[in-house]
Amino acid sequence: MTRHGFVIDLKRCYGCYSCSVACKAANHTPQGVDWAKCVSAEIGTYPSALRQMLPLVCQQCAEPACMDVCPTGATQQDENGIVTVDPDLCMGCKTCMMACPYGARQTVSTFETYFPDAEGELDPYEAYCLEQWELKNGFGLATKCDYCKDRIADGKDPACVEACPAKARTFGDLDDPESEISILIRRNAGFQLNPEFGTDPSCYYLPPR
Amino acid sequence: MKMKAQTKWGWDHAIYLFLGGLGAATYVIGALAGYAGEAWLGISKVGIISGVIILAIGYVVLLVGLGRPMNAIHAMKCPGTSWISRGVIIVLLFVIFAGIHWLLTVFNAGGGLLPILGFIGIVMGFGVMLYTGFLLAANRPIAFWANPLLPIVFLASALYSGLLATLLLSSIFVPDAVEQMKFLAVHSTGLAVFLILAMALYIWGTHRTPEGRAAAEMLMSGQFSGMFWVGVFLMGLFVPLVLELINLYGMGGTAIGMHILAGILGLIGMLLLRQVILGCGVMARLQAARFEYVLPHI
Amino acid sequence: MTAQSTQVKEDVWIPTSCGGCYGQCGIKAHRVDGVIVALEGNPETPAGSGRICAKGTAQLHTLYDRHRLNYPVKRTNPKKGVHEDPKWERISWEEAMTTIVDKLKNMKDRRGCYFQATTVQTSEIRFAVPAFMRAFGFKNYWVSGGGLWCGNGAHFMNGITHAAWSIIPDWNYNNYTLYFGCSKGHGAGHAALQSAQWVADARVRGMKAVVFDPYLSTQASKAEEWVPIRVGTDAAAVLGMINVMLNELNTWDADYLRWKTNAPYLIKEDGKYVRDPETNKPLVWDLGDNRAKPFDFYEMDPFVGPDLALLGSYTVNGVQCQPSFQILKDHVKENYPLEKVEQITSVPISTLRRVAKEFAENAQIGSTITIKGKKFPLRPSAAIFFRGSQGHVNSGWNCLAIDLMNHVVGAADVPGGAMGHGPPVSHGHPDTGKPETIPYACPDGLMIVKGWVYDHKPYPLREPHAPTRLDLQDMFPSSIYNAFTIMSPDWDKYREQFKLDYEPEIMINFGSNSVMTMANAHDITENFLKKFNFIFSFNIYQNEFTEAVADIVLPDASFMERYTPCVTFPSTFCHPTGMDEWVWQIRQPLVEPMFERRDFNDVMLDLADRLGIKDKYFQVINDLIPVRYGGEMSEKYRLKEGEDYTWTDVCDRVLKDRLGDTKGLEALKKTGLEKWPTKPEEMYWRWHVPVRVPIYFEFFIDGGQKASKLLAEYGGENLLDLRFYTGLVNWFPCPSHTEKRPEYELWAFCWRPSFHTQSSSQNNPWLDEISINDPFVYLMQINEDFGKKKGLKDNDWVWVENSVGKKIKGPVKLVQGLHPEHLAVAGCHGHWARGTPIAKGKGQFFDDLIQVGIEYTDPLTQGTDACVKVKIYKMKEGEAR
Repeated sequence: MTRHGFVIDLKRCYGCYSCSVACKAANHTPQGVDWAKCVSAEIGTYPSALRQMLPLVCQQCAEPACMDVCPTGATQQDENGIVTVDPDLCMGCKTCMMACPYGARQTVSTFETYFPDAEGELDPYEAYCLEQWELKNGFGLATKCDYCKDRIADGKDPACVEACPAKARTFGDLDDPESEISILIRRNAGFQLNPEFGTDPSCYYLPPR
Repeated sequence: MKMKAQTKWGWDHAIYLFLGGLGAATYVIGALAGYAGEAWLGISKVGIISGVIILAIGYVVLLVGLGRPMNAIHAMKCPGTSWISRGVIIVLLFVIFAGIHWLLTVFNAGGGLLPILGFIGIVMGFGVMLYTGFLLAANRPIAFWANPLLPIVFLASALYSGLLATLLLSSIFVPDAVEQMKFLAVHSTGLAVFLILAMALYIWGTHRTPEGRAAAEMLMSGQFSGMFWVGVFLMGLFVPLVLELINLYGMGGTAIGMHILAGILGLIGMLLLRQVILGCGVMARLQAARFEYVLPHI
Repeated sequence: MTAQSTQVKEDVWIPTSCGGCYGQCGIKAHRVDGVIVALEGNPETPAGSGRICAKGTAQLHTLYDRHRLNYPVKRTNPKKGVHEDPKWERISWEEAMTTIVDKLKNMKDRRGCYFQATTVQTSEIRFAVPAFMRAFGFKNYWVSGGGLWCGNGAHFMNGITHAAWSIIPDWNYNNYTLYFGCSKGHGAGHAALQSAQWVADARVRGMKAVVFDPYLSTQASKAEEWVPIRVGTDAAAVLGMINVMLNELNTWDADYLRWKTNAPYLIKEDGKYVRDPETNKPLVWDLGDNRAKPFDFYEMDPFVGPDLALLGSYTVNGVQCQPSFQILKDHVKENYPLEKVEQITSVPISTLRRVAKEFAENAQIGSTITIKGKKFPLRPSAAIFFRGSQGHVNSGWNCLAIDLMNHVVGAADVPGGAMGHGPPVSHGHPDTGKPETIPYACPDGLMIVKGWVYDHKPYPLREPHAPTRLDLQDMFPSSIYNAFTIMSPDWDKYREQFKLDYEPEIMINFGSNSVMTMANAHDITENFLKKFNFIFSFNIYQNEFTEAVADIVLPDASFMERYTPCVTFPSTFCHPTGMDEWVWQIRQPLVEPMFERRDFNDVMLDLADRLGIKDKYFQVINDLIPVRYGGEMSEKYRLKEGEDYTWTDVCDRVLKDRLGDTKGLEALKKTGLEKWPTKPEEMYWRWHVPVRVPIYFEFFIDGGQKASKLLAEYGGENLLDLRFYTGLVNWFPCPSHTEKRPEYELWAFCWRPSFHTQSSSQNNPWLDEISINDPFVYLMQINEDFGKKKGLKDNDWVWVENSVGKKIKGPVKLVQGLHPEHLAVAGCHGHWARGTPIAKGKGQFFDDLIQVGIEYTDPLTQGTDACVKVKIYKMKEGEAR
């Protein structure tokens, strides 16, 4: 069995948002949707304050809270552990957004152009993005990251992994103890976010310091 | 970093939660009144008829608020894990039984069938009043909701608002049922006191986690404090309680206008109660190493 | 509609070079049916290795941005000024070109022309700008942010000591880096993506970084240690640490200092070298023979050479003298005791002492390493700097002081140390031997850089002479761009005083937004830009500059719609410094220029043609290529007189000349690049090139005296503070450091988010989206304790007012990660142009607080001070936000 997983090395990550933008481009997410969010935090007091960015993706939990609460069966988990949303089933109740501890679920109800002040038709690129978004996802439903399922089917890395200038992200198979990510997790005290929610994420983080 | 609450469930959800609970409770009161003899018939009718209509309106509001209303036909598919699926089934059953009850009541038919329908309707009605509490409580990242007292608060709030609505509508449609209304008013004061206590316990219960504390702070001294203290506490509970007490013990329960005023204020208050509880749904912070991250508005 | 129902006719990937910042990483673009639908990193190039940053990916929206300028326009509102509405009117290209040619032909004096260019498109300005300037006959040029944001101090000083544009640590071997006001490896353009990978690898490997910065910046947040320091006091901190190394720890790399620097050069009482009467060469003291002898160069391997004195006092030909190292050692001891340094910088003595010790220990003086069979010194310590250190009155000395740390321990262009960046030594492509750039020594043994992009090399200093440029740059020995003259209300008087016999007439602008990038908008507009009768500008957007002063704006192609033959060379900012391959990247159009956009290069050629200067234009290109891209042009590919080359012809010939007959434009369009192996002695060249670098700057003494004498001839001696022209590294305060009025409580400075580029990226909707989500970009940061003391909380709006009453406003964010005496603003935001509605009104325009004038100018480099003392106060209720 394969369990697709991520390792995000916080020691490498310097918070450049390249993953966020690469994700937007690869998945044609419209304004207001950001599947690969980055959140920043500061701890400690001057002069010992510390800052660290936390880049997020869908954690593709083994026990997805979003799937439990989904009433329509739109949320499904494939054989490789990737949690997907079926646009033909999702009714947009947003209950998954309340249940997911990681903010992975995102929705916008309508399309808004990135260029509201410009006159005329959409530019060819934005029109292309809109077409792709409606084809694969759509408005009104609770969309999410699927580890760039199409790209990994083609043998490529997810877009955020490929873009990351600091090589902070590694994609691989958690079920294979010899995979790069399994080794990284073992050797560097990899941890999951907020394990208390019992979701068993497939995304592991390596400590920042 | 200041914690943030969810923003995706807003007024439409608050209105549904309010109308759903209110409708079910009003129906339940009407149905119960149906067992209480001839004198209660008018009030029973008012309760049954308006209860079902209110719930139906609530459901329309909910449907309209969905991102993809057409896919709502799939909403019952996952009762094994999803409280929404369970809720939809409960509401559907309620609508079926209470709906027949409603039709028979409207057309003054049914006879012997009514008590049986009423019984099933009452059970389903309690289900409707309770499930929304469980629905919210199932969201573990929102500590303020994931609280076992929330279903109790929602149930009490629903019953309280149902009583006030019945009083209000009865004052208009069956103003002669003074004694019955007095009976309802006494219970409304009792429920108001109970609800105040339940809420106090509920809020106290949130103090186990920082997110819960942040939510309680948001409720009592933060963003929602005005709505909470003036809207929910003062307008929704305290003033109606005082009005009804004055009415009951000062004026012999004859002041119909007091019922109407208490009803209007109380209903607004209970709508606001749903809204503040939704609005204070502070999301859990993510923890990585020693850092704590606040998710942007979800 | 489904994906299948659309017949896809075209589906190609095109390799090219990014132009989202000056980093120029290699990328590839996905074109489907004529539309670019993806930009990704190009795994084939060492300049990025397949990665792409936020700015890079976001260029998709820049290509198609509906706010882009698509047609030539002319100004119909004759009134010029900040916030004026130019009332653009669309015109034809023919009208635009005819008007421009007419204006150029009818100039009173062609010297009154001025070229202003952006450095974001750093590789685009290498041909057309100098070619047109020399062919048409004028010398006035600046990159508007240059000197302030770019390196008047940094590039100049790195040129002197590393023959390079910048310095970065050799992350492949470095174990300990001191950062001063820079974000190299953390989003800065200096080989942005490759550096980011290397620094991350190094961090995981255990490299430690210590960041001196008032702000807990991106790089500070990733560092082992953040040392908060008062803005602009870097040199003081460093000289304190050098004092510890030289006088407490007695640690220095004696071999390096003896043989690769002028540390053993004997200095007389007047600060000048003691010279050999015969050869005029500076003398050194040989301890073996116990006598003075002219300096010489020595082979590196094995590490042997005469024992030259670094310490002591000697008498040569009856003259008392000391090695310059001894003088430096005494200087830091006397003038930079830690108690004083702590007072200036606010860095605790214990921290200075500890960091100095760690730096010296990590340098592992004496250790060696063998790379590809060659032995090199291993010095895994580095001290680096950039904009934060150089944007001060002490610009030049701050840079030299920090770099001196590296030279004391011999950590310069050797494995693990501070490396010249981009790599300054190149032996050239194996097929052609070009580009060949190897620094060489002046008669005094000091290093002269080979390829350089400014019109004057950093060393030897310029001979000050009567001004030919409108900014009087010629009169100063080491000025690159001279802002204090042109932006002064007295510019007219200056020109008169220094007998400049022509006036500013026409400005040509390529992409720059100088109204926002060179101190406050008012001064540059009123004192400088409005002095031109006619301004035409190449832009992809209308911006604050065009709206304030441009008469005609031409719709430029973006970097995704044009050819550039040389992108990673000259290596300046973008070629990675390390043992990966050399890479020569080109840039090619991903789509044809849309609407009526035309490539700047084409239009400039067209202009040259219409002005009848095309032959000269090509001749200048022939002349410049050897200087910038190392090695003479072969006869075969020289641009010949009378020929009518197009821009792509020029590109093709340059490529074939540099890379070989089969590596023309058509060939490179397929791959986007040419690679060849790197030799270790190219990257780690220090001990393989017979040059020395100064730790004692004897030549400044002469330079200053010459300039001062020249200025005095015109009664302008007040324009040069001779205290700065000494041989010894020093710290001098900025006006902000001497501001004593108590209400001016904070130093304000600005920092750059890793996902923005100068003033050009703010209208990008994706970058705007992440800026909104980021907790810092659109808010001004103050220290939380200070804020609370002032009764401020997050998102409260405040006024920030500088010493002359200029104000900016904005919401504050209270943070712990900021020195409590400071206010930090992300720049460059707060746009107001109608042409960039996404950027408009977001964030703050920090530069509006910056004053320009002689007192805010580094006498050594004419760099501009970018730290200001401010007072802040809460906005009143109801004040417009």
